[in-house]
Amino acid sequence: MSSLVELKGVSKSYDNKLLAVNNVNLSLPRGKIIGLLGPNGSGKTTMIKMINGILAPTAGEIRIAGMPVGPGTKARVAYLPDRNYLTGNKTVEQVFHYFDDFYENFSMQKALGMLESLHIQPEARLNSLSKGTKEKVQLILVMGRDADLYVLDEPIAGVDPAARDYILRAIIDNYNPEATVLISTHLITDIENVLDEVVFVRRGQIVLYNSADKIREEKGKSVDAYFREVFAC
Amino acid sequence: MLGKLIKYEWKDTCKMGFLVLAVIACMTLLGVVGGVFPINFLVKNAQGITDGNELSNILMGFTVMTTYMVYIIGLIGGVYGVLIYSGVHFYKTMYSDQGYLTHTLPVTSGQLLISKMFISGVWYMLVLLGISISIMTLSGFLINVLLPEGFWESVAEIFRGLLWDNSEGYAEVRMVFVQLIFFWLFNLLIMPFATMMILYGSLTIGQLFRKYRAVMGILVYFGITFLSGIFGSVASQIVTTMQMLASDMAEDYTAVFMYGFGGYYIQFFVTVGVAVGLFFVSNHILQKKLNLE
Repeated sequence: MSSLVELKGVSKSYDNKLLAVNNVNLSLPRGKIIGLLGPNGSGKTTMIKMINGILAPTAGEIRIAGMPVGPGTKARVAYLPDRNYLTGNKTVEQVFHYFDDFYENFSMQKALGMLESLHIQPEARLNSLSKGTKEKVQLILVMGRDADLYVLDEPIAGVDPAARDYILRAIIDNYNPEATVLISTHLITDIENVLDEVVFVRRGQIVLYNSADKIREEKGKSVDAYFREVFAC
Repeated sequence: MLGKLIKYEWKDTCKMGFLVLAVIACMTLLGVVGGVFPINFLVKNAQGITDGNELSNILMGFTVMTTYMVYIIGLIGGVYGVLIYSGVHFYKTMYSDQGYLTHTLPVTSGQLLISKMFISGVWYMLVLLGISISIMTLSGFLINVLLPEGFWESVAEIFRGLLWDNSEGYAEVRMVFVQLIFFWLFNLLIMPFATMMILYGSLTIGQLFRKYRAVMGILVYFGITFLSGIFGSVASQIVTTMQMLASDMAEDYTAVFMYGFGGYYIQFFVTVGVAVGLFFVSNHILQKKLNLE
């Protein structure tokens, strides 16, 4: 199976001092839910930002579906950042129309359906929404797309347990089986059951890339327990 | 995609644009009510047509002074208001959290820059046009009040001469007049876009710094405008002086104007050149050096 995401010798340094990502080679297949796991400051978000063209790598090459990061890949990648970009007094519906205009793979019907199930009014103005509700709207904007790659940076951090369940359900129910979901988190227990594969990241380097089942089988413990063992302080 | 970007950029900024235009309209109205009417009153008093006492004259004079101070501050505020708003809007949508949406749209960095420069340039142009119309309106009213009857007939006579009279005197003035029109058109149609591109380019260069990127962007802007101003002014002085030395101004009085325009065009091309250069530099930074915090 051809890989969807290819990172070849990718490095990122800030000020030529701090090497946030160090010569990473990684190939991610299609049709998997992959956990990008690592402690805070391990380089997960930096890798994700480079995949989405928010950060330029210092060295190396990133390709998605065979294309270098650019307008072509951005049309195929749905990205949920760890930031809230929904500001101003636009309504939720206006933001949906914005996405519908720019992304051919955005489904207005699907997004409105998800909005309804979360009891959020399409007429609600962004500046009247709570932080948690904005995060849910951002997730809908991502999962409302029929993308090749979904990149979710800490999608369940900062939300209540009930919302976590909904978010995980939304990810599983709405992603295209041919697509890949890359989830970055350090809350492994909550997402362990949905992961097909896991990537452990430490100090900007990949220390492990394996299937979640194999880890459980070979190590005789959960991914979360193994993570704690590998990253014990 | 460029059309869509332009559409949303227009929607995002139109409230501010129309607000500034409304302020200019209000300032014009204020200039007429608080400036022209009292001046008319003072002129008629001076001519003995009306009978106003000294206190009313002082009050009217104070009103005129205050009005024109507010008027000038309002117009300058309009120009700088558009510049500052455009800079803040650009920074917020490109380099703050909103940049996470902007830079993941399936568009090129060139399209992003063009859409933002185009819309803010259009607003800047409309504001400059609004200010020109405001000044012309107010001047028209003031001319009516202050200058003797028959002034407009003289102006009409001059224009008729400029358009139809082919005698030597008019032909020379016509050249100056045509240059004036070009001068104004260049300023109105091209400089707003160049000004915005220099602002956006500077803010983008500020992104290359590790810390205080917004502040660094502003400093880069002042640095670039200062240096290009100095360079343009020195270059235009040299060219103007060379042209003046090579001709006899006593023989050709319109030459004074023409050399002035020559100097202006050099400054104009320096500014446009800097703006074009900054477009390519910004595009390169967005493609190869983007580092959103």
